[in-house]
Amino acid sequence: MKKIYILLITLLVLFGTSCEDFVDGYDDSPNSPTNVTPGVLLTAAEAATIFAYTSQSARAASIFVQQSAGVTDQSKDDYQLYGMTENTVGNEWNGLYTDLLETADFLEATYAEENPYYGGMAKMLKALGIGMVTDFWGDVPFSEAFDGRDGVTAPAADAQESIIAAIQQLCTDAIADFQMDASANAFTPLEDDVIHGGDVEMWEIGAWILKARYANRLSNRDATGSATDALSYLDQAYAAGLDGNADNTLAPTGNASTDLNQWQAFQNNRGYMRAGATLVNMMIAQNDPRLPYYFADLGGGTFVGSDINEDNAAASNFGTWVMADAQAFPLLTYFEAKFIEAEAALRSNDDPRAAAAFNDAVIASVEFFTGSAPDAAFITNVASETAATITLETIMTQKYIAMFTQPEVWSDYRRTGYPVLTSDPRGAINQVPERYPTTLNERLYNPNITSITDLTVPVWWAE
Amino acid sequence: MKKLTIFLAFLLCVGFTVQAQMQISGTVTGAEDGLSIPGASVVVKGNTSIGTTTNMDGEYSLTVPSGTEALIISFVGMKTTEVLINGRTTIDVQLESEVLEMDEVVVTAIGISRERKALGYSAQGVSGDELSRVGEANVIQSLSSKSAGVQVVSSGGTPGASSRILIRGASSFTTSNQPLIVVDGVPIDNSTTQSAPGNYPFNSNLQGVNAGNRALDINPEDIESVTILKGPAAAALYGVRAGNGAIVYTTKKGQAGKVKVDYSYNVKISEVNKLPEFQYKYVAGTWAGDDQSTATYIAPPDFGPNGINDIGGGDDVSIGTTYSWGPTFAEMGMTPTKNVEEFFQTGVGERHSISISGGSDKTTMRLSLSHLDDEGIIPNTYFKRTTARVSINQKFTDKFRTSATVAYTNSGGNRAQNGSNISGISLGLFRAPASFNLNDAENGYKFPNGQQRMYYFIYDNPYFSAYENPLENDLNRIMASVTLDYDITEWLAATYKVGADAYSDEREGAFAIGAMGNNYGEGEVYHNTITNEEFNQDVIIGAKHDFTDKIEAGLNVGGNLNQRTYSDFYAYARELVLKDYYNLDNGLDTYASEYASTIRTSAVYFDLTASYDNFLFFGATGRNEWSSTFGPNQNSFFYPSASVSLLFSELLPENSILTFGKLRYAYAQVGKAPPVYSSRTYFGNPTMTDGFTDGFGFPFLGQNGYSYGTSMGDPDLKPEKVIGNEVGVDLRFFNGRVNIDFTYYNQKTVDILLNRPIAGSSGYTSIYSNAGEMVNKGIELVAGVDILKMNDLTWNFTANFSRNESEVLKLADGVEEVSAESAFTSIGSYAIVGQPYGSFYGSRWARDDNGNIIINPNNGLPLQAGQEGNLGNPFPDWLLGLRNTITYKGFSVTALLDIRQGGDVWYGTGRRLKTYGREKETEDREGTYIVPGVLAEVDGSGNLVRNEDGDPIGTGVANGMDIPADVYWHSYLGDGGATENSVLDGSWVRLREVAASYRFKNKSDKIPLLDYVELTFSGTNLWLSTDYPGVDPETSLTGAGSNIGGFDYFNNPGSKSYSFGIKVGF
Repeated sequence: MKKIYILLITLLVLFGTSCEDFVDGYDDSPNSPTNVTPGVLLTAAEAATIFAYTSQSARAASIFVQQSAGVTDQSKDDYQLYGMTENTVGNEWNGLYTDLLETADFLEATYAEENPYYGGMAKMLKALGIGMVTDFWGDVPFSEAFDGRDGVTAPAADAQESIIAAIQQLCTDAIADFQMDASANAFTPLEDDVIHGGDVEMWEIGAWILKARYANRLSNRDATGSATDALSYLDQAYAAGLDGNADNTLAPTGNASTDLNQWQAFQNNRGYMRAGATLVNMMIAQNDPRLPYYFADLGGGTFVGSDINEDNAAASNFGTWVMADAQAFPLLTYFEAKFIEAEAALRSNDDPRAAAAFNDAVIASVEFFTGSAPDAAFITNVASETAATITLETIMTQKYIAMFTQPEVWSDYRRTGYPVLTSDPRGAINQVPERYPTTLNERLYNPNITSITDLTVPVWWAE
Repeated sequence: MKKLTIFLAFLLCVGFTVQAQMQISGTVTGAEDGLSIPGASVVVKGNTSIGTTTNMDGEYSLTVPSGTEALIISFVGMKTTEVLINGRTTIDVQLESEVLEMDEVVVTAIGISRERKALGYSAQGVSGDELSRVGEANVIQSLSSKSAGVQVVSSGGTPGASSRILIRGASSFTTSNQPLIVVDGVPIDNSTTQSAPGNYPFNSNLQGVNAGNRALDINPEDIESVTILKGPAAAALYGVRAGNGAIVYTTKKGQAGKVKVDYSYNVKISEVNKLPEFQYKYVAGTWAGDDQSTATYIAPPDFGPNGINDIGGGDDVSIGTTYSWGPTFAEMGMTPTKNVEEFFQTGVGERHSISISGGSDKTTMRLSLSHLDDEGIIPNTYFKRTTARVSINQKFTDKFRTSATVAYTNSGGNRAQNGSNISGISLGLFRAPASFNLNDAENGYKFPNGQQRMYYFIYDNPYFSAYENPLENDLNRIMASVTLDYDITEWLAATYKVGADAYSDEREGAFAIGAMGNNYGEGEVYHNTITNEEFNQDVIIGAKHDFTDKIEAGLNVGGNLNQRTYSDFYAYARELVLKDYYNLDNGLDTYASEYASTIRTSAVYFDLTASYDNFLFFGATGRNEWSSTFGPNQNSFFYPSASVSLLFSELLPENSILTFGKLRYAYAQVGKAPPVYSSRTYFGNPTMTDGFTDGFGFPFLGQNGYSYGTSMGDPDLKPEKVIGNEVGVDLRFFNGRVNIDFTYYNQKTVDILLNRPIAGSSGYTSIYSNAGEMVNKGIELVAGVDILKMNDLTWNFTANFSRNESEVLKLADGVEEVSAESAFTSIGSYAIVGQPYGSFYGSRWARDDNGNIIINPNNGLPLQAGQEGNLGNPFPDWLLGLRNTITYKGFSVTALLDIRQGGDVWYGTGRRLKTYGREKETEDREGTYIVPGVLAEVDGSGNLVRNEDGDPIGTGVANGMDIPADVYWHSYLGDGGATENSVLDGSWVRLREVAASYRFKNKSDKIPLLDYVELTFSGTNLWLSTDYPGVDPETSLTGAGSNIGGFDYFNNPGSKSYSFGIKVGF
């Protein structure tokens, strides 16, 4: 009898201890990698960056400044008529934080130390990402953000001023990374860097241009300091090799269903937008060779834009350049650098430099979109400013035309007020919006930020 | 004289002694079927050592001492019967089966058998006959309306479609709500898996075909009985898989005695049972203006020599239309075609089934084979199944027994597309204007060049879809289990049980070149292989002991190991080059994805029972379970249960009115494990989309990319816990002539797993964590009456009634609502705090305080409220099943009436059909309409005045504005109107089953071997009464693999069937 008891108890004890061993180690999913390389993280972060800069936010910016018009559905209700609510822009916010910033941050944290090139690119993407977030939403989480896996699920917002300072620092650090020797890297980026193919010199140039952009952003807060900084960064960019469109940082797209040109995809799938009358008329007036590249010819050289206060669905669609397969969109360009130089030089009272930079900028922009230099008549008409004739309005108006398809156009308008626009009278507010509203999920689940849904409140650098 | 007296007395004594032994003989048969019972025990009352057993023919012969008053005849599973001898020498006895007796043995969790009287919880049995009587192929569907508290919803009349089963409502949001399925003590897989590529971004349950649930692979003829363990207390021994209850099937075993062979053959005829009503007065077309006089006919598309590629080219090529707002047939000189009615065919199916069983008292065996071939009501659809099963019971010694069963199934079929799907049969079919013949005499459904004929250029002709967009599957499955029992001592026994369930489902589907359902004419072929293997082992040591005369106790202690491995390979090739060649190498765009998972669980458990004086019973169980799906920080959980049962009838004086009464109460906690791989945050290929285009994905520009997913896992995941309390009473009156079983239960689920949303600035949008709480309360009532119980004639009536109410108590902090599963933009299925689970959420009309709809005075159209609201709930208010069974000699008839009250269905189909002018109601279009309601308040410039919620305000002035009929049918009642219009009551009364059979018993010896011949007739769904205007309201777009229900969006219709059969026994 006793033997049986002992046997049973032994069996049970054995069973109990082996039970736990039986299930150990089976919580690793075979459907996801446990470790990844810096290359796949970089591509993911770059894809998210390209998406952010060429999809709905770029389209929204373009409608706000009347380069395009939203003639139906959400493009009309939310953007043309300024009807954005906290439900409208959730995807953009989440895309920037969870796809772009989180990935770039993880890449930097995990691989930057042993791979400065990857580290530098991660910093650049982070800067581009947080730059867009703060330009569109103002004071947003940054220093406490993307720490969800460490338990920070409600990060507090940082003031925009400190975020812009952080962007400058990120770029500076990135430049230092790019200047290191290739041998300092355990792995070097190559084709996984879909933007520059691993060419860190191009990245460095891009970093200087980005620094100049954000320095110039502060033109309303510190007119002279911003100009001095911008010019010095640009000088560095030129020293690093910036001298033409060949040195541009572009956002490439492809031909597969996973990487299509989003301007083309949107119009083909939805077709809610048309050319904006403001831009079309400006370009017609100055006989702009970029016109058929921007907008579609309706037949016989006719280009029509849909104006404010109307929904002209018969207006021109986008043109050959915008709708091209596998188009590479401008991110940080030579012509933007030249426009910044012109504006900063003007603020620094260096009018000759301003005029020269301006003329270069216009010509370079035409070359970029059309593939060849503009004709003499156009140059005489538009790209022949002198120290005496150059004005801020001229610079910003031509910059407006040149920066088509980039979200930057809305930032420039809010900062300078040029070109002068009349807001759509049917709009929910009676001015062009100054910001995006705080998203619903942030309001509901983040008690540490303040929700702003009044679209007329300008962001800090626009005040 | 004295000597004579003594002599006479002596003679008398001798005489008595001589007459003191009697020879009694007779036959023992079963009372219900009249079959002889071999091996029945016949003993003398008062002296059980004198007795015998009946022979192969049920005959016995016994010499009994004089003075014996009675014999006691008994047999396993039958009521022990006492018969008075009364001087007879031939006594034939009929034994009744113990179906309603309290000594009835019920198979409970882990295959442990319990006497019904000792059960403290609700467990309802269904006999195998009831399951297989009407020839329903799906053993889950055949449980419908046969057990209180059980709701079965089939997903439509296509053969091999899934049936979803819920016991006592749904208790969870994101994990499965279906019970565990156990066959012979071994859990088996009952999942329903949709085929979808890894990169499919939407909910794959909303379209495609209705895949079957895997319990479909079981042959209902193999089932002896089913026990439904409804609440946590019943299923507690199954631990984490028992959260929704368990359904325990026991298969038929062989019987000792002569070899019995049963063969049956059935023919089944299926027809569509209900369709929406269509109008046949107006042709295809639209109104140019505001009334019928402006109606213009729109011709079908003009497919040129290049077929679909010519569409959209020039301005004059018609693309056709889905609208039926054209002129009348009379005006056009055309005749209408009843496309819908003509499309559905009569499906003819047949089944063969044979079983052979026999054995000795040491070995019994049963072999069964079956073949089923069901044709559907949609052309080219079918379901085939072949099964083979061998069961052996072997007694090696008195102490050592084994029982083993192995079953092999091959099943498969061809299924039709349905739902929100351009290739969906009902979509293309119901929308077809009556002026277009989908299958005309000249060309059929396609032109000679292969281009399908169609009325609108982007849908598929349903005939084309049925014949050329197939999805075929071929599944092979083996289910096996072996049990070894060893009686160590008289009071100690050991059991070892091992089981395996493995299947491989090969699915192959295609969209022909020219099919619009996929890639707009470019064709697709796809292969999907799904495999699943489950191994399960239990070791149980059981002991029993009588502590005193009155106190008995038993203890089972056991351990379990279980492993489930699953894999899913999917590959497609799109942009096919060659026609009619469906191989992956024919496509220009190829893609492959794979998914695999392994789950391991282990457990130790105990099951303690104690009884006092055979009227007070106590039971307790406990199970400690480890599972690989809990987070790495939490690994094992303990689930207890306790129940008590009091046979209060034993305390009352014996009477013939209340022959049995039991009060019972049970409490238990069971769990539901998290889905596999939820405890961590994983890397994946991100997709970037803003909702307007397909966005970006990977490979991106030829490169691969990974980042962390947007949903974080939680390493501290715990299982969901269902805490159940149930109390019940079982009453039997008049020796079982009347019985009533009533249960009240309250089941609360806590720590419900859901994706708790968090602020995106954290880098993630949600955490999967334990956060919700929900409760299900209800009653179940089972009542049965043997209205007539005579020798030749019986009439039994049984009713099953259940009512369940659910309420979501809590979601995560700060979260008031969570989508149960993504659905449509106009309607969703939600868990909302304070509301029943699964509520429909959608748009509503703006109404004033008196409930009148507020109308826009500028155009006479009703206005929608700013916020969406709760529109109804797909779960029923109550369910009632009524069954009448009448037997007369060899003839038996039974009918089951199934009544459902409540249970809303979203009639998405109707919304669309009204807009298109196809529904019969829209025939009324010659005049104008006024939407009933009150006018809204407007300001000076005619703008609507809104209150602080953004809603318009009613003025109280009745609306008198006329609107044209086409606007009325679109913007008020069609899909331009608020969703609340299309959430309709799905209540019904239906004749779910009717079966009649007549059995001829072969009593003569003329035909040797033949035991009986039985003719059967049965029908399912023969009569349906409901207010629901669409197809059969028992329909589910999303199938059993989904947690949401009640959606009808161009679902394929249901069917009714008639079945004739013959059964022969040898």
